[in-house]
Amino acid sequence: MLKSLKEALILAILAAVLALIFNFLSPNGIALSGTWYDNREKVVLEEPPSYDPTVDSLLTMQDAFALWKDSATFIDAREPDEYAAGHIPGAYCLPFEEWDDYWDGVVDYLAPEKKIVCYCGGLDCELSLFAARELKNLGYPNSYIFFGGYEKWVAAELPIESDHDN
Amino acid sequence: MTIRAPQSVGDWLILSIRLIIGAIFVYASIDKISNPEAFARIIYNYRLVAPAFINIMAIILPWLEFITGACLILGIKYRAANLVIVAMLVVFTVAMGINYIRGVNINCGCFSTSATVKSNLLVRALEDLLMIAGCLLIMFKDRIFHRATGLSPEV
Repeated sequence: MLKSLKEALILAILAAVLALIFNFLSPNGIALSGTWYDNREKVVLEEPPSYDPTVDSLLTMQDAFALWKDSATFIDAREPDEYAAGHIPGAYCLPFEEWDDYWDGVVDYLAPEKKIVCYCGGLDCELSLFAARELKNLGYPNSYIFFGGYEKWVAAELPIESDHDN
Repeated sequence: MTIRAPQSVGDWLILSIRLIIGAIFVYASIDKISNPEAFARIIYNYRLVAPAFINIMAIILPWLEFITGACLILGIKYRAANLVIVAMLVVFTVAMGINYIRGVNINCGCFSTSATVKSNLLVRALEDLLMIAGCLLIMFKDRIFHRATGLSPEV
């Protein structure tokens, strides 16, 4: 057992040396120490895990509500059945996972100069982030992410509508 | 190194487990070795590692997986490799368990470094537990199989 432990240590050192050499030579190599925010104590996420401040525009609950009152376009990036069960009033259903199937039904309501607010389920959902990025790629630069979207909206006791209302 | 053909059901079982777990580890390391930046982001998403260690972990961990996996397959210092693999699996399981309890939906970074792929952390943790069981069989194979057959353990 002691012999195996010693050999295990040697294997670990070997892996570390090889890794460092490879990282140094590889075009995809990264710095040994990155600039990361210390998120260990964060119990509640304030931003999506994939959030990149150089690409993504996040909205607070207040911002999103103000834009909703201002008749901005809302995009619900969740699954269609979740949308049907309840969504922010006036939002269009554009599930990120089934983008191509729903895009044609939504594109006419979008305008490049108009603000678009993407939202999805809760703080563990990043579909809104991916949807906003996709919209930016498609030529809608004013696309925003309302992170925590529907969950925060419901928690704030703001109005919702469902397909049963229609 | 002498290569000895498996002589009993126990030997064949151990060899199969070694090949399967070794292959899983080698396979799992490839995407991470080629995308250290994406893997660092996944480690960050676990919210368990101090910022200073995230990148160095993203650089070294995949290579540790690759080398120990290869050792397990090739039978080179495989007992030592097996020890390292058990240690890694325990750490992975605990990390996924913590995030499962936290209710965070992240990519475990087990096989892919794509952040858009979400993992069922509970299933992944159970898979790890299964592999830990396999590793323990490898670790204690002599006591388990040779005691049963009355043969003396190989040295």
